[in-house]
Amino acid sequence: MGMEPLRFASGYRGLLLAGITLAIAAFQIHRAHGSDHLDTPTVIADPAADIGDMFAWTSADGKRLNLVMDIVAHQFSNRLQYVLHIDSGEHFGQTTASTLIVCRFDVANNLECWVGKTDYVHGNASNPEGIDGENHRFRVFAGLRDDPFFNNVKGTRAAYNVADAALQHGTSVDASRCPQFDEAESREILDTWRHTDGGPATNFLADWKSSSLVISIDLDVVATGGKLLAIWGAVHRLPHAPSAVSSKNQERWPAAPTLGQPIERTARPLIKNALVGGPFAADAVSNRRKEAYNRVGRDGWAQFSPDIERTLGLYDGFDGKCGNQWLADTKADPHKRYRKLATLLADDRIWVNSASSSCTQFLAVEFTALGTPGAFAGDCGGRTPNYDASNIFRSLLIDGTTKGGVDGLTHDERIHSTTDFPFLAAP
Amino acid sequence: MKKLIRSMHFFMGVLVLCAMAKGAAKIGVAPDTTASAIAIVNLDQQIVQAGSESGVEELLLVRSRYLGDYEALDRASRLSEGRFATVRDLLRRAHTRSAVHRFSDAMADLAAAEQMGADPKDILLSRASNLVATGHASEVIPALEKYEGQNPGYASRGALATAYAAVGRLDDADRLYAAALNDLDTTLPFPYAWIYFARGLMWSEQSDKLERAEAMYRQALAYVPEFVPANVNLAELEAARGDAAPAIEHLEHALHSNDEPEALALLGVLYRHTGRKAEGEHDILLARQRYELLLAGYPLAFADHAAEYYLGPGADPERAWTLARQNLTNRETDRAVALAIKAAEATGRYNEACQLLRNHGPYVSLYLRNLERTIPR
Repeated sequence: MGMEPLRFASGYRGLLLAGITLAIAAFQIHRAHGSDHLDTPTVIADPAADIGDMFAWTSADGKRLNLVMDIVAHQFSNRLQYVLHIDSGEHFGQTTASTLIVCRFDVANNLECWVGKTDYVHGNASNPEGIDGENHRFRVFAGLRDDPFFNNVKGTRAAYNVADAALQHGTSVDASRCPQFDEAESREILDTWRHTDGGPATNFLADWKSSSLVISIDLDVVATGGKLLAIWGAVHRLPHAPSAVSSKNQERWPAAPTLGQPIERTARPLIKNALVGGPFAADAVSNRRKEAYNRVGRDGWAQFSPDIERTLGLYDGFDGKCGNQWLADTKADPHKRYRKLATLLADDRIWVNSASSSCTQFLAVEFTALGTPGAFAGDCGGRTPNYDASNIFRSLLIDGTTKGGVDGLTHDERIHSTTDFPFLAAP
Repeated sequence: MKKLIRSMHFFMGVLVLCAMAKGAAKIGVAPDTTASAIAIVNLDQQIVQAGSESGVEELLLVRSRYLGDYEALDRASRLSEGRFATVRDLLRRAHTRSAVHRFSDAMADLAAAEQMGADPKDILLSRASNLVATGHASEVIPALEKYEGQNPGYASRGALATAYAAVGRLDDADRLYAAALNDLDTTLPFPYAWIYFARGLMWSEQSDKLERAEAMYRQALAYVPEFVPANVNLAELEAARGDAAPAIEHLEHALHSNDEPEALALLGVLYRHTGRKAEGEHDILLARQRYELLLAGYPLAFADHAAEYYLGPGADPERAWTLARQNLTNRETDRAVALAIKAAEATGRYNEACQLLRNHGPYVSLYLRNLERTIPR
């Protein structure tokens, strides 16, 4: 071209190696801050693959099931499938039918969702009123909302540090892996947990926003196996084959896509972050198990029961009394004290009694089925955005109660609706 | 004297080129990752959400490296300078110091982190990064080979590939880069783009395989179209073969959301040579102002870039010589030597040029040859 020098230095040749490690490692700064937020390196790297929470409850008129899948990112990925499984049956723990809702997005955030072969929707669902399926059996919203999860992350970490220090300094652990914290240690652990940097508890996730996939669907579409519904959410990669559809479809819409490789799943809060990868597990070990947990098929879930069982004893010890955890069997062989709860939690699904339109108690279906005192037998259970689910869960693990407030928080800063679609507060 | 230097360039270049291998490049694969436009939105959200929390520095570095966002680099640097109490703090400060080419300071942080019990793997990779950047790749290759053998994966293979590339083992490097890509199992587009970019840089600067380099840059851009350095480097190749229109398109794309001086300068040259003289002069002047501003804050980080600018459209060889020597003092890589030789030649310092050529590594000639190829005479 007959011109002066065109060769300029790239600013990157000295930093190539750093760039390789940074390209992924940079995203690993936040770990286990939430319910299921930031649970594994895979989903931390691409937060569009990271489910923060799942919520499920029945509508006040008793006709619909409301579902929320919160994704940590601000925008859904165009290369992932967001999948809600609604299993159903007449009896707790035994589901006989399943309805699959599969959604995917394009780069402009337009979505397509299939409800089995029953209904389908395609369009932009980011307006709060959402859009209806072609057969009007479900409504969907997909967009940014306030993240309803709240968590005193710093207090929780500090409490774990107190417990860890006590263990390092000789606190013994019984045959069920429950630490024998003395009264002072226990008091310090629980007090630390209720505070942030010595002051009142603060919500680390205050003002966090998440991409919410919100669905309200006719109950008769999903309760095909019985009134009890068991819900879980998953994220899959898009299959490699471009024509990956399950079958030719004679309907008015494209056939539902086949599912790609699963990389994330969740249902109840804290199962993975607090129990599969316990607070004191080495990162490498914890990450390996949690990655496997996210990828395993439904028939492999039970293999994580031993992981959960190993961690339950730690929580049981935090109040200085081993054996008072929910479902702990103090008469059993010490190695089996926590087996019942571990088995229950490894089958990680949110249970909803769809015969009820009153949803006020987290785990009500489980409590009722297992004869737990205080169970609201007529409650739908499930999980609404306003439950203090994580702290009730912690209370159950620590002292077998449902009093909640373990981390000093009882509610989110924002008020979320359980009746007005799309339920979660505006961002 | 000029003739002698050129003869040496050619002879040494032939020797090295003869040793180059012919690894096949697996390219043309459609990205199976989240669209970069989405990934960038989500990265920005993570940065906002992290606030000033420890760790945000590395997210800012990602933004800086892919998008040419020097404000992000500046913020990362300022934040990390104030944190040095923990091992993680020191490792992060080492990363940001490396990012602004303060390699000695970064090595000091790594030594301190090691004393405080840092994970040997973190130390190895960070130290390797600095050693490769300062022309000492051969010192760290045995440790990286051992690490890769024990922990085969994206990070270990990518690191070893970069070290191999730095010592001229291009075929080995390319094979390892390809293996590192196969190791990736993420929908995040950035690491794929970075590996393709590294391969593009290697083939374009250390060989004559410019078509291969170009294909690599294009693949990097298939993953992250906003990737500023990949756009600039691809534009350089296009411009060097006389294809001004696509080069201008890539540069204008790169400059869409920033004022990256390297892109500005090249775009200015291309404008000037395609009849848009006023726009060209404007961009070249803007590039100078931008370089001087960046040099004021981070002299070592931009010394080499700015030296090349002043050897080219900046038209100030004395300034180039000053900056090239500064860069050479900071890191005696073969490329830094080559740049200093170019600056010495441009300012009539033939003795210094010859001295530099005699006393430095075998790949200096390759870089000189590379510069010769891309400087029309």
